[in-house]
Order: sequence, then structure tokens, then C-alpha cells
Amino acid sequence: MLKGAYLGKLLRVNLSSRKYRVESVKEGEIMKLLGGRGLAAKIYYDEIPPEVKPFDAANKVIFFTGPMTGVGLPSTTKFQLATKSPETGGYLCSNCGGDFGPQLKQCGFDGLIIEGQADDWTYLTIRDGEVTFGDARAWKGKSTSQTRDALHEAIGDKKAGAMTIGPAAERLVRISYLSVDSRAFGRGGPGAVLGAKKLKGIAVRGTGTIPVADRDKVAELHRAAVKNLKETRANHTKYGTAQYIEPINELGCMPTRNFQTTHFEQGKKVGAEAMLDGCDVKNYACYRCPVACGKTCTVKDGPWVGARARTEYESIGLLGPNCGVSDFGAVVAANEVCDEIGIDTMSAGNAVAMTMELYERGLITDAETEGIEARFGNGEALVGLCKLIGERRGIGDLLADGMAEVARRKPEWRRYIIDVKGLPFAAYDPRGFTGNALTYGTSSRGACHNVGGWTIRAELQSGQYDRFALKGKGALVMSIQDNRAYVDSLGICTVVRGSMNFSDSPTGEVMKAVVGYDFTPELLDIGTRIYSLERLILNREGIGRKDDLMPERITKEAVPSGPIEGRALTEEMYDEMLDEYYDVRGWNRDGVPTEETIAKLGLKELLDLV
Amino acid sequence: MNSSSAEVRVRMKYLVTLKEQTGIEDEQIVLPADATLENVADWLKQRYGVSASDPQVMATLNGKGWDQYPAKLATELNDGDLVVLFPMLSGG
Repeated sequence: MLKGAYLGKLLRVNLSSRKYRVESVKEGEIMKLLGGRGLAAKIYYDEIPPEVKPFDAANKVIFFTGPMTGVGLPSTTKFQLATKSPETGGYLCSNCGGDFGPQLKQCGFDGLIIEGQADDWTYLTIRDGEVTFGDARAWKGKSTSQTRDALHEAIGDKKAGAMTIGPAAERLVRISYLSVDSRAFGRGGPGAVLGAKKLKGIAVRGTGTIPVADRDKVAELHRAAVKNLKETRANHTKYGTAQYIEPINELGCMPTRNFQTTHFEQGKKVGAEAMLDGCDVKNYACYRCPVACGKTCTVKDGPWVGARARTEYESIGLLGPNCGVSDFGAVVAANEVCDEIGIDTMSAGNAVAMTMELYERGLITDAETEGIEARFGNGEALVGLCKLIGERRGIGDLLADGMAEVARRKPEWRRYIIDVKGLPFAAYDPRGFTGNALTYGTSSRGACHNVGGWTIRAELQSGQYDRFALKGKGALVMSIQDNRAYVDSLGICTVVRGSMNFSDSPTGEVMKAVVGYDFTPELLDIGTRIYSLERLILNREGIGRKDDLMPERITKEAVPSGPIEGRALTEEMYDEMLDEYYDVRGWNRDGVPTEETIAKLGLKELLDLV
Repeated sequence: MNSSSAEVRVRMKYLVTLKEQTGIEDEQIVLPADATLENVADWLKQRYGVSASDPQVMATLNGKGWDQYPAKLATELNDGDLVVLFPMLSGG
């Protein structure tokens, strides 16, 4: 049935025993869950029970590619991760580009599981079928990029995929990200899981060929997709995601000064034009990507001259306007600190914003900030606080443990923490887009605009409702979530998916040409299945309706100023949307999939549920 | 409510790529009192060669997408309305 795309094997590496073995991937599970996010979730369900804590040796890091990963089509770069999150304490799924995923497949593996815990700092090299365990003690303290260089040297090949952690992860900073070839598994602290396992990095280099069912057809589809992308994604090539800063700000949806309001009066200073004026900008492309939406910015002048980072929309929004900072150079510098020390820019931006509000309200002082004047708008404070977090100094030591822990230890700060399930918000204020509230609330990994379903365009374009309506948002969010779940299981980047007709209603010949089996008509159902599987994992970890709610600031504070001044999203309004969402999902009003839903989605057999 | 004058003033804002295409950030345009979004669309096409219905363009009126008004392009304009054009949003 499956003539291409899958290798049918996964590599399991145990750091405690320093042994590895190759296992089979069950075709039956592929048929139900596709790959990538779906299969990673299944392995998580089977192998990471609720009692396992993030830093336990029993926690595992599961990497899974999709059928499209590494195939000869645009941006077939993506692969997925699943692990117990240090930031939230629960299920984490994450998606990443770079070369690692395609290289892993070229080694002959669809997936990789890292388990156990090394006795001392270790790195791995995976070259085709062979795994070596290297001594990484001398690499301790290296930044993510320094470690990448060291890995390339160790494996003897700069083309190797390289996954690394920075010094923050070594210190078990719970918002540490996992760097992958200068892309990232950003959210949820997966870097710290590797830190707990004393695994500094993994290099992978494969020389095999990834099989496809119809090579000529794939080549033809590739040409058509590239032509499509040159037209439809020209803006991404020129501006990257920074192009959305000004529009979202104009709509009154930009987190500003810790979500106190939703329009940053100096938004122009941190938009795409400011990026191009203030920085030398070089395009960066992921594996096989003709769009090259990555923009590596080097600050040209001013106090942050020479700072360099690939500043995406989220990083700009949460390090810039959300911290009241209008200096694009400071945003780049803060982004660079986060990148090299190894912490997630989004969670760091939220943590810095919260700290600035606490400071301005007199709830913390210079003693906690090590003398940093932590006021909104202070670019030096922004950069300094990111360092405090990564180095666990001063208040950074508390912030390094993530917002869930901050809320536990400082319940009086709850109203200043803007998160769901311990994962802080992305750079969209849900009082400007009600569907986005539901996105944050019902995302499988906490307040994530990707996993939770990015609704922004639909809420502006749909003729059925507008962005402030409540009715219809449950169905909308479900549809986008399921769409995203299948795309995350395929192994392609969402920026290019339209060029291959992987939309809300997928069509086209790509799946048949690549796999030999046409999954296309089943993709949305597979997405629905994956989402409810993830929900069962969350339920098993104690998650229910009480955890799907909005933070206090969002439901108790109307927007005080700006384009949507006066707009409120009360608890009652949110509850109405949440009820509709649960209903369309076939979950009960506590957010638990019903037996009927479990049976309908084929999860009963898949999970051996009694 | 339309003013009793024979005209309606609409503020136009252009962001990012649309600013590049039009060469300006914002302006006020004056249209007949019974003007609709269709008139704005025609004006944009004539003045700048910008098509409001281009899939790469997002056009809003007072913070909502044009298609979200029941009358669509026949939506009547009021004095002081704000039209913003920006690159079609894509994210996540």
C-alpha cells in the first residue's frame, strides 16, 4: 500500500545504557495517524505516563518525520517532537524545520527516540545506521551555535543536521528551546529535557535516498509548486513575517506592555520597514524552500550595532511592543541573547513584560533585577532581563522556571501572568479576535497560536461572522486545528502548503505521487483523530475545562485604548464559545472526548481502550 | 449617518507592500455622499493600479474585512470611515 515516503523504521537511543536499536513503525498506525505529529503523539501516549516528570530519566524525547519530509518538493523540511514539557509540566508537541528531519530520513529512519539519562555530558552522532556517543564535557557552556559548529566538526560534515542546546538548558531553564540548524523547537522548554539528560547535541548525516512512488510526477508537481510560490509568497521573500507587525497593530490586536492594551503607538518603529532600514537583512531558506522567509537581521548602527538574529513576527511582537520597546536594534539584540543562551523568545518576552509591569507597579525592586531599571520601553532592560533568565540570576531564577511555577510561588502575581496551562500567549491579543481566545484555550500544548489553530485571517475574511462574534468560532477553531494537525503530520512548512493544495479542503495529486496511497480524502479526519488523541493525553494528565480558560487580564479588563478601545471578552462570552467548541468536537462540557467520539474516530482500537 | 453634504471623506491607510505600491502611508479621499466600497475599489484601481480583491491584499473598513459587511461592495460609506490595506495575513 505504501510505496514511498516511509522507511518503516525508527531509531531508539538509550543514554543510560549507551545502546541503541532499530524498531519497526506499524503500518496500521501510519494509516490512522499519517506521521509526524500523529505518530509522535501515539508514542507519547504509549510510553510517557502522567507520573513521569519532565526531568526524570523516564521522560523521552520523541522525534518523528512526516511522509513528505525530505522529499523533492518545496520546503519538505519539517519534523515533530513530543515530550513532557518542563514549562507546562504536561504534553508538548512541537514542529521544526531545518536539515535534521530530512537527514534523519536519509539515514533510513522515520523517527528517533531519546530516552534515559547520560552519566555526564554527551553528544550523539548518527551517520546512516550508526550511532556514536561522544564526550561533550568540554562543550559545557557553549552557545547553541557554538555547539552546532562543534557537532559539525565532530561528525566531519557541515551538511549534517545539528540539534543543540545552549547554556540555559544546561541550567535546566524551563523555557529552553532546542536549536535545530538555526531553526527551533521553540516552545515548552524541550531544550531543558535534553539538559536534564545531559545531552548537549545530536548530529545526523544520511546518504540514503528517500523513496517516492512516482518520481516523475513529483518532479512535475515540484515545478508547479515553485511557480505558484514565486507569485503567492513574494511578500514573504521580501519582508518575512515582520510584514504582519503593522497590520496586527493597526487592527488593535498587538500585545502592548504585558497585554495591558492592544495597540503600540510606536508600532512603525518595529515593523518590516524599520527592519529593512535599520538592519542588513539576508534571506534564509530552510531545506528545499524557494520562499526563504527567514530574515537574518544585523543591526547597522546605534547602541546595538552588530547584533544579529532572525527576528520573526512573534519575537518582534513579544520582545518589542509587549515590552514597550520601540528600538528594533534592542529587539534584535534581545533575540540574539535568547538564541545563543538558548531560551524561547516568546516565553522570554512574556516573562520580561510581566517583570516590567511588576517593577513599574512597585511590586519588585532593583534588588530582584540586579540593578536593572526594568521599565517598559527600556531596551537595555529588555536585553538584561533576557540574560538574567538564561543565567538564572536575580528574579531570572524564578522566571526561568516558567509561568506555571511563577503562579504557584507568587499567586499574588496571577493577574500579571498571561498564559494558558503555563504556556504564555503568542503575539495576538484575543480581545481583538475572539476565535483566537479559543485557540489559546484549547491548544493541545497551552496558549499556542499554531497548535491551537491560527484563526486571524479567517476571522477577517469570513462572510459568516466577524472577529468579535462568538457564534461559529467553535467550529472555525476546530477546523483550523485539525487542518494544522494533519499538516504537522505531513512534514511540510505551512507557508508553502497552499502551493500543494494542502488547505482546509485538501485536494491534488501530491500524496499519491509521493506515498503511492492517496491519503488526501482522509487528511482532515486524520487531523481530527490526532487532536482528540492529544486531548485524551491531556485528560490523562488531569487537564479539563478549568485549564482551558482565559487568564484574568483578558476576561476582567476591557481594552483601555486604541483601535478596539472598550472591547471586552468576559468569562461568559468565552464560556459560550468554549461550549460550542466542545460540542462540535464531541467532547463533554468538561472537555473530555465522549465514548461515542472515541469510537467514531477509531481511537478505541488504536489506543486499546477498554 | 451621512452628513448632509454632497461628499463623504474616507481615510485611507496603506501598510507594508501597499505603502510600497501607492508610495504613501495615508491620505484622505473625498467621494460622493452615496459612495460605496465599490467606488473605493474603483478609485484604488485607477489611482494606483491596486486591486482590493487581489488575493495578496487584505482590505478592511473600520476594522472589519470588506466581505464581512452584508452588502459587500455595495456597503455605503460614512464620513470619517477608515479603509486600511495591507498584505494578506498569513501566520501560525
